[in-house]
Amino acid sequence: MNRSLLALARLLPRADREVVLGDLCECEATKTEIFFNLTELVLRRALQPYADWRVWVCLGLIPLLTLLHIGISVALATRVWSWHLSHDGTTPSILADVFRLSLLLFTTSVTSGMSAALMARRTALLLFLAALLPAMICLHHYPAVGPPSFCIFLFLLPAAYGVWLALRKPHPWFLWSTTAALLLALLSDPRLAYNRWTLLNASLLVLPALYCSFTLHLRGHNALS
Amino acid sequence: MAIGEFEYLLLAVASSLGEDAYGASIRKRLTAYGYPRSVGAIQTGLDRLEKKGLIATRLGEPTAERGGRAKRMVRVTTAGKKAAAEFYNMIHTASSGVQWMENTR
Repeated sequence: MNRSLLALARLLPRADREVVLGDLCECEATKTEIFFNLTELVLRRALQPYADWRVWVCLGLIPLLTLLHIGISVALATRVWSWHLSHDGTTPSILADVFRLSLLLFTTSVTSGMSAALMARRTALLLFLAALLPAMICLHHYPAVGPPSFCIFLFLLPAAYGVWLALRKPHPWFLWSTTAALLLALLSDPRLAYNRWTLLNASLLVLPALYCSFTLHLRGHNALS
Repeated sequence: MAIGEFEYLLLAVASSLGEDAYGASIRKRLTAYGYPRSVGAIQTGLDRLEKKGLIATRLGEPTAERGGRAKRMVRVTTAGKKAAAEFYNMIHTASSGVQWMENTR
C-alpha cells in the first residue's frame, strides 16, 4: 500500500482505519480497489451526520437566529454607546434597556449555542459557517457612525459558552432558569404588544431555549446527538 | 425493529458464520451469494445494525494475513435474531402464492 492510500486511510477514525485496511489486505484488493473502497468509506463517514433531519433544521434556523442575535447585539451596543455619550438624566431608562438587552442577548445566545450542540454536534464547522456568513454580510454593510463594528459579534461569546455547556451536560434547573429569564426579557419589551414582527422574532428566539430545556429534561445525559 | 434487505443479509451471514463473522468474511460470503458489496458498504451496514442493537462488535486479534491489523468481530444479538426472523417471515408470507415462487418449484 503506497503513501497516498495510507494518507487517504488517515481520514478515517483510528479504529475504522485498522479494520478496513485489514479487510482490504485480507481480500487481496488491488490499489485501485483500495482507493475506491477507502474513498467511498471516507465519503460515507463524512456525509453520515447529514442524514439527521436535525442538522437541516439547524442549518435553516441558524442564519435567521444569527440575524436576530446581530440585531440584539447592535441594539445593546447602541444603547451603551448613547449612554456613554449622554449624561443628561436619561440614564435610568437607558440602564434598564441595557439590562434587558444584555439578559436577552445572553440567554438567547447561550440557549441557541446549546441547542445547536445538542442537535448537530458533528456538523459544528458547517453550522459555524452558517452563523458567520450573515454576520460577515452585516459587517460589510455596517455604517461608519455609531458603536464599533465588532459589536456585531457580541453574541458569539455567549453562544460559544452555550456549546461548551451543552458538552458538559448542565443541570436542568440552569436551563429552566435561563428560559425563564429569556421570557422575562422578551415580555418586558414594550413593542411586543403591538408589533407583529417583534412577536414573531420573540417566538423564534424562544425555540432553542424550549428545545434545550425539554431535551435535557426528557433525555438527561443521553441528549447529545 | 424493522430492517431492510441488506441488513437482513448481513444478519443472516453473520449468524451463519458464527464465531468467524467479521467484515472480510461477511464480504466473501455475500460475494459468493452473488451479492458483492464494497468494504465501506459493509462497515456502514454493520454500524447501522450496531446502533440499532441488532449486533454487537468487538476488536479481534490481529493476524498476519491482515498485515497485523485487528478484525471487527460481529455477534448477532437476541434482538438481531428476532428482527431477522420477522423479516424472513414477512418475505415468506408475502411470497406465498406469487407466480415466480410457483415457477421455481
